[in-house]
Amino acid sequence: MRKIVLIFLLAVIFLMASVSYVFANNDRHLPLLVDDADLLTDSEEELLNAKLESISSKHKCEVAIVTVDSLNGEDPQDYADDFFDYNGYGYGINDDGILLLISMEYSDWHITTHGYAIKAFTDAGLDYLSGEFLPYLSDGDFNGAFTRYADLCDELLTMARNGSPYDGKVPMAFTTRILISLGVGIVIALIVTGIMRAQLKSVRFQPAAESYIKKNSFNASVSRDLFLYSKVDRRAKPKNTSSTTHTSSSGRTHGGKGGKF
Amino acid sequence: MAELLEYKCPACGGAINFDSRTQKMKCPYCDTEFDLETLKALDEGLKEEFTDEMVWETQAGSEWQEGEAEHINTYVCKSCGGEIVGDENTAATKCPFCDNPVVMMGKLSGVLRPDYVIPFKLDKKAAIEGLKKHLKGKTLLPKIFKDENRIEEIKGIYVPFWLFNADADANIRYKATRVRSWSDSNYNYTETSYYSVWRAGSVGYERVPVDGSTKMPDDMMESIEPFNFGDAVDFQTAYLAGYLADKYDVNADESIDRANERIRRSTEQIFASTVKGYTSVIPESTSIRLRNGKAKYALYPVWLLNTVWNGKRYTFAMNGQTGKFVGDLPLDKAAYWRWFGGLTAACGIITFLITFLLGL
Repeated sequence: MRKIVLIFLLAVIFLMASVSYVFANNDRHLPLLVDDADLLTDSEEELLNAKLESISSKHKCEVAIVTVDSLNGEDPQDYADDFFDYNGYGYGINDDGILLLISMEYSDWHITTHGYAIKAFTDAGLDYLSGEFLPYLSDGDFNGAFTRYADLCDELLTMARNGSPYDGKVPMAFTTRILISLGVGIVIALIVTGIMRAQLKSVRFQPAAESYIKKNSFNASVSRDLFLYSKVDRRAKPKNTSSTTHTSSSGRTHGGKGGKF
Repeated sequence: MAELLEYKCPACGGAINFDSRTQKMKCPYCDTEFDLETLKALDEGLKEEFTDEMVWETQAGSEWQEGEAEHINTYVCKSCGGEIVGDENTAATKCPFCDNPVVMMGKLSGVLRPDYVIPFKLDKKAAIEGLKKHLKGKTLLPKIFKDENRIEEIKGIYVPFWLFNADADANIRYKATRVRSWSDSNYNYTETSYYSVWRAGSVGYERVPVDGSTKMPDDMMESIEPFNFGDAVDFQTAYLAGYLADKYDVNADESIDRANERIRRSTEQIFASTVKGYTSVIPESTSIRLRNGKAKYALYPVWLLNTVWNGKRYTFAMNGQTGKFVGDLPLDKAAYWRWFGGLTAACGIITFLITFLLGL
């Protein structure tokens, strides 16, 4: 009886796994770099595509770039989400991936994230990322912008893999670290040597006369505590940083950020 | 006709009027609301306060009996001007304050007879041991300082003290707050409650000592306190045998301020210790009045050593009754900087590694 239950359970697990595999892993039929707006030369395209491939397989999270001439009146966010979903982007059964969409018509850009990439690219991470590549876009240096984007995706994914997704806190610079260490060292040294110096000093005034209080002579005849008023101060709790998400037309959850360049 | 009531707002000091329409006391300046009863009680409390009064009766000491002072010699130091007295059988040769030769002046005159004396309980051997112990375990004390000390020169000397007895009446008002915090999903709340706290009562003081000699540094004499008055006896010249005594040059009246200061501070402390359960307590008004203030004159036993090292004078004193040993010591500057540099480097490196490991 127990055996049958076990076999049944295994069968159910196997079935569920394969079903989700079929649902999720609709294979990508486009390269990671789709340059429909033809912003890059062929050699640039080839190099960048190879770079994206290597980053994607290294982190098991696809990093993609799509350029188009026009969004055909669609919202950049919807367009990016749908492009990602319906073209089968994303790595593994959860379709982990990030996609940067550039539309030349109204200078739109949008980044969409899905699966693991939502966690890896926090709101702060997306701010940092876009802040870094947008100046290149505005200058019309598309190859520079995409290379910077790819490098930063690599960097942020590495941080996320190490357990601490970028949260807006810039790692300390080497000199700051040295200065802080030195400061802590000096403070501790001052305290310890201060204690040592204090051992040498034993002459000081007695501030009070508590040793001369007559035994049992203390008598507090009046002891009154009167409540006057009270004030309540209310402060909003600080919002914790995370990744904001929305649902795309296909019903899947995406994160992202967009704007104009 | 309604009674016109006007109070001062305890929060901001503005005038509050009773608003007969709302039947409430509300400060028009800071919008704080009060119970009428609270303000009435506060007002009554304020009326009870009195002004400070610290009056003493300073008939300390007494006249010498016929012929008693004839057996006491006085000496004066030509170098520092210090005057000491000694039993006629005790020949003083060196000044205990500056180590220079002293000259005999003659018979004692012009000073009062002490009321009490606490005889020496610890001998010279104990004093030498005390000094050795005092120099031990001090990391930054120059090594050679220990070796160069002329430990044998340590001298027993009776130091004149004025002793002040008094009962202190106090009436103290504090402003106290109690803080309570809680939070819900969106907000953190802090509630601060303000209280007016009164304490009044009395506390008695017995024989608060004030050093009556300018030759003995006041801070040093306070450092070897307390003396246990239980061992005190009525003064007899016989107790001076073998020891020197310092002649007082600050009289009781001039010493009162210091006694008042210490009594006042102690009284404030003991009343403040009864104000419990508050986050902050700030005294708003303190009135202290002394009753039965009386002063006495006593000689207390002190072992004293003066030594010069690297051109600087170092004085050590030991309580001749309890053995409490004090005296500031010189600092080995080279050792200090070695320690400082070493600790800075060691702690700096550890901090650096920690920040690195924590990925800060």
